Amino acid sequence: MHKSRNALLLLLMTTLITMSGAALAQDDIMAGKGGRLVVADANSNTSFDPFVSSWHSWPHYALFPTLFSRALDMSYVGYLADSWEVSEDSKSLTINLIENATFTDGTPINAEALKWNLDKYADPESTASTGRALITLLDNIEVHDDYSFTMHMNSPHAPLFFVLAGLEIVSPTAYEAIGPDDFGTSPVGGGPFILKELVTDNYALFERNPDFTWAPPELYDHPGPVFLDELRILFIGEEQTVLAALETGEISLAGIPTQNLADAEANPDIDVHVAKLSQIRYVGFNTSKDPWTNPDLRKAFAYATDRQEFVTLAWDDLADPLYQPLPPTIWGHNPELNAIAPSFDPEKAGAMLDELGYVDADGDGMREDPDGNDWTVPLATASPDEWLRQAEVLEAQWRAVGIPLQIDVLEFSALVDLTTTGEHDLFLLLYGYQDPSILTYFFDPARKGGSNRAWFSTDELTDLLVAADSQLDPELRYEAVTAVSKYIIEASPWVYLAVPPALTGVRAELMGWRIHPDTSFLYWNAYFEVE
Amino acid sequence: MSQYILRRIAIAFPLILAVTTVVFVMLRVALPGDPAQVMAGDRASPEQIELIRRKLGFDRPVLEQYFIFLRNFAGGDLGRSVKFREPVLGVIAKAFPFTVTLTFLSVAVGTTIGLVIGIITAVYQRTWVDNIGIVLTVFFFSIPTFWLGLMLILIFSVGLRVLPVQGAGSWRHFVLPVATLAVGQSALIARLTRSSMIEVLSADYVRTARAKGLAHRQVLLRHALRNTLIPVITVVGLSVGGLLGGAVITESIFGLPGVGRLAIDAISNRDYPMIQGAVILVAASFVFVNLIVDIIYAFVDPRIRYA
Repeated sequence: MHKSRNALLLLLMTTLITMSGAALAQDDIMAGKGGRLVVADANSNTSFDPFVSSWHSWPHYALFPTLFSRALDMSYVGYLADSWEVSEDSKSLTINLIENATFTDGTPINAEALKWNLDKYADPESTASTGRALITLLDNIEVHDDYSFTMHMNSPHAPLFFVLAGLEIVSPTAYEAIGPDDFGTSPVGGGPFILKELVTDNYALFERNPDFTWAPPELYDHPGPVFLDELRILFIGEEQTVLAALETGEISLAGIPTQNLADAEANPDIDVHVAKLSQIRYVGFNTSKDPWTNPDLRKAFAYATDRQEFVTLAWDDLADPLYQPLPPTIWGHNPELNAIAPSFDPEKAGAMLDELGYVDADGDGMREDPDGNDWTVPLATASPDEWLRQAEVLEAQWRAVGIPLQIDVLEFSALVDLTTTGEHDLFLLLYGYQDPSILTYFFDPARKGGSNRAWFSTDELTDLLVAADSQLDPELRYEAVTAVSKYIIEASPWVYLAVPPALTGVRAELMGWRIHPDTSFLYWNAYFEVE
Repeated sequence: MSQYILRRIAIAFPLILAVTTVVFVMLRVALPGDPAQVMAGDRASPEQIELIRRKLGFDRPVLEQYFIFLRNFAGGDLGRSVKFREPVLGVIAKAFPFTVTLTFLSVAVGTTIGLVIGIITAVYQRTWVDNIGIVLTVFFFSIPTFWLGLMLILIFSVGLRVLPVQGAGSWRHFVLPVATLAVGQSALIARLTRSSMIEVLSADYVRTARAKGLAHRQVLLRHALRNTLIPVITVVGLSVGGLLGGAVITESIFGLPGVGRLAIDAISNRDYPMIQGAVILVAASFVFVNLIVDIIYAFVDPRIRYA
């Protein structure tokens, strides 16, 4: 009896010493660090309800954890997931959760909570943009115990980890108590920060979640809580205002417009980080409408485009020229494909156009169409100056081979809407993503009138896309993605133009920050020195 | 007078309704773009866009949507913002105080300065004072708002570090936006006051007042200024009405979360309920301000009577 009591006392003391030691160690780590990080991010100016928001900016992820995260080498690592196993047929994923995580309403982040979230994303009536793949993919979820469950899928899905890394996990208890109408303004998650104050269209103020200790170790030097006391997000988007606020120290982090890079680099108070976005700019053809149904005509435009000059004139050489549908910043990019892609060759472009009957019959320097009528090529573009500059560079390059371009400037929503009508011709647009499965969204036959803006698909391409999206072996998937890219390059529904730069300015007094290769800001180790 | 006010208020309702109806129809029929498309994001299929359209009720016939809108409007419900998922009225109620503050401060400052400059240049017409005044007012009236705003930021915020670049947390945040708007306002009022004052100063009753031996200051302030103010009040009323609808550029440059910025953002996002809410606010502001202007007319010029 005495023996067991002593043993119990010893165990209790050991536990207390270990806990207080850990608390002291945590205090040591956090000593002298804190402060309020103020950032400008107009993209965050939406509902914080992940089930309705179409845009999920990095500050949104400060409120909500995800099952997986991406390490600095872009591999997937566990966040709420502690360990996981894919079944042999690649149709089931069993996940064991970490056991110490809680939502900020105190409820546990357990298997039932995950099932509730994943089922909600997979609901066919869901309007969430991030979890849409789950609607057709997820068959059911089997909960084994408090912290383990299996997702059973209808088919193998290569981008599954990418999808799961993007799904924000909310507290089901809070969501049901608050209701979908108000959850967007009173979100409850289990991320490193808690929403303290939200003034719609003005700012959001987050405060540190003191209980957060489940940061993925592959990404962060300590398990949490974060060093920063508060994170304030200003919903302002005017570039020059944001830049001026960065210069004065009103904000500590901002994107730098290309034309202001030299000034920012010359400022000793600002550290500038230069990277490339996981984004591309391209010109798309409406391949369902004549004459753009002809791949040779589309290819002639690709040969007439000098990408190197394009990035020089449109981006002061800060962007990279692009010759294929995936940029080097997205896994699956194969640099060897550049060799088979049409590159700048105005003579070849001219010869192809001649062969197709587009010749300059009246000697005015501009080609007429095969029927001898005046030829005008309408290019729809967005209204901001940056886009207009790009369109003007293209106009000059194509005019040099006798292509008479007509630039139609539209407001962005109108431009996107135009591409869903099927009545458009050429359009200058962008996409940003972090997985090669993006190509399925743009060339899926079922998405014509939606995200398939080139209205381009063939049975062969569909088969290639399905093969690429269902192959989980990385090497085999890379080959499958290469086959998709090669097919798209040869069919030329787009002219690939450039990979834009990501220029980030950070105040010198902010320490410990990092920029993720996906260009999101890693604030977890960031801090200001405080007394 | 009270009957006139009641009648004007009664007219205001159908006027606002007419404006709202026009905007309602234009948004759905003439404006390209689709709130469901914006909300669905750039990877959506036509089915997903249609699902969102159905959930938002934008798949219904325009007439049915209009009657639903009218029914809700009558109950004081302007709907929920597509972007924020919050009641439109609540979002506008948060933004409107910033716009009201900016409007009244800039109009008050601009009008005061403009009146003073206008009177001085009129009194000293065809002298070097008048010439300088004319040059300055033309110059200030010609400066684009966005350029002036950015210059003020560069000088006072980035250069001298005496005023904040953006935000709306204290009176200091309003100094630069108010100055940006007041410059153009003062130039306009100065030009108007000068021409009006010159005309009034040559009128018979002013000459009579002078002949009676009244002091110059008395002639100016008691007799001439009052009549000079009639066109000035009209312009001030229009300025207030216009700015209450949102000083879009100024609000954007200085990061002021007002109605103008909100409305422009709503147009970009095809947030129909928010656009309609902003339009109702603008229409109501114009009607209200014009009513106030008419009432002030009667006080300034006793000859004006409203039957």
